[in-house]
Amino acid sequence: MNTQTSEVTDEEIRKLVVARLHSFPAGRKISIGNDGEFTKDELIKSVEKDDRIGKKIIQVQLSYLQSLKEQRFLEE
Amino acid sequence: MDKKDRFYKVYNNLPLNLREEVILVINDEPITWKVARLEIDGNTNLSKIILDKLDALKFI
Amino acid sequence: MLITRPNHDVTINYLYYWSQYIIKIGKAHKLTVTDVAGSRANKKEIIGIISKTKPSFVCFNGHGDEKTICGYDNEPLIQKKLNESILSDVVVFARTCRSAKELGPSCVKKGTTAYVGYTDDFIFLTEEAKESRPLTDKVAKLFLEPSNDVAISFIKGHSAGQANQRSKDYFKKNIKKLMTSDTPKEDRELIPYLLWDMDHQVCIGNEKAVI
Repeated sequence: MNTQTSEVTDEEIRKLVVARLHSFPAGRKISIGNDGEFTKDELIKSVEKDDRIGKKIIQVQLSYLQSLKEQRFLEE
Repeated sequence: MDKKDRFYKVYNNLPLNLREEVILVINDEPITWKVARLEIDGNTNLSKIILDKLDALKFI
Repeated sequence: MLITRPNHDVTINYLYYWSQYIIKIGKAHKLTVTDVAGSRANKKEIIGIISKTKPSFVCFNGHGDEKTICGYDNEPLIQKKLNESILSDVVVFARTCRSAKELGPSCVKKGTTAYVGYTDDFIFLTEEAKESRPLTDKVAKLFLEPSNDVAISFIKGHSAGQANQRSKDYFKKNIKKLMTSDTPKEDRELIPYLLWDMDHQVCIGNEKAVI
């Protein structure tokens, strides 16, 4: 990550999501609509290539991380 | 509320099971919520970068 | 009610099997359930049955996009600006990717009473070893049970708004369980995707509509 600036580049975001995908459990797949089913390694490749699936996974992960500050699941 | 306060607000309410999730990668090193907290508690040089990045990403 | 259950790929096959619970509850509540399964879930058959039987509730399983609900082999069944009016006076649950983004509102404009669906991709996780036995897949269950709850809530007499909310509450319950310290760490990986599905499930049209 670029430590000189507070900005976050697309490359940094991809590296973050790839790092997070490393803890994706073996033996499981993600089914994404028309696009099919993907293993951890396939997802990592997609994120690195920044293809449609990669972009979708990045969107899902960022959306989740941004939701944590709302504390939605601590409410009754 | 400054970035540090916002970090603690999020961290303190984060379920225990989620605190070891990676939230940044800096110099190719994954940083989890727990590692971020360690740096921020210690007011290190890295903590400023961490807080700026978390703010830019809208995680805090 | 009518339910479509194509089964032409792994993803759709999961919906094919997990929809059996919807059919079971429908029959237990004495509804006439028309189960259009496998290759029968084609346009000619589905449109024909809807025209003839005029169901009050249609549950679509399949692939799709912003403007389309698909059936067997991804044949378009309902398309925006083409044949939405076939769903006039019908309550719809579309378990298809993205159709609630454009097709849903278009259907409601053309007379669909209520449309519950997804405004983006419907994503779920599976256990590779269970692909040939989807009903034993405990990971997929965490996604498909809350999603099923839309249809099941309708069958039990709840309104469109209530069905949507009950399903979201079920997603939320599963997410909260995965957030606790008792849950194995690998299962927390499911949370972002459960949240995604929950947040992209919408109810369009008359929220007070019942079937």
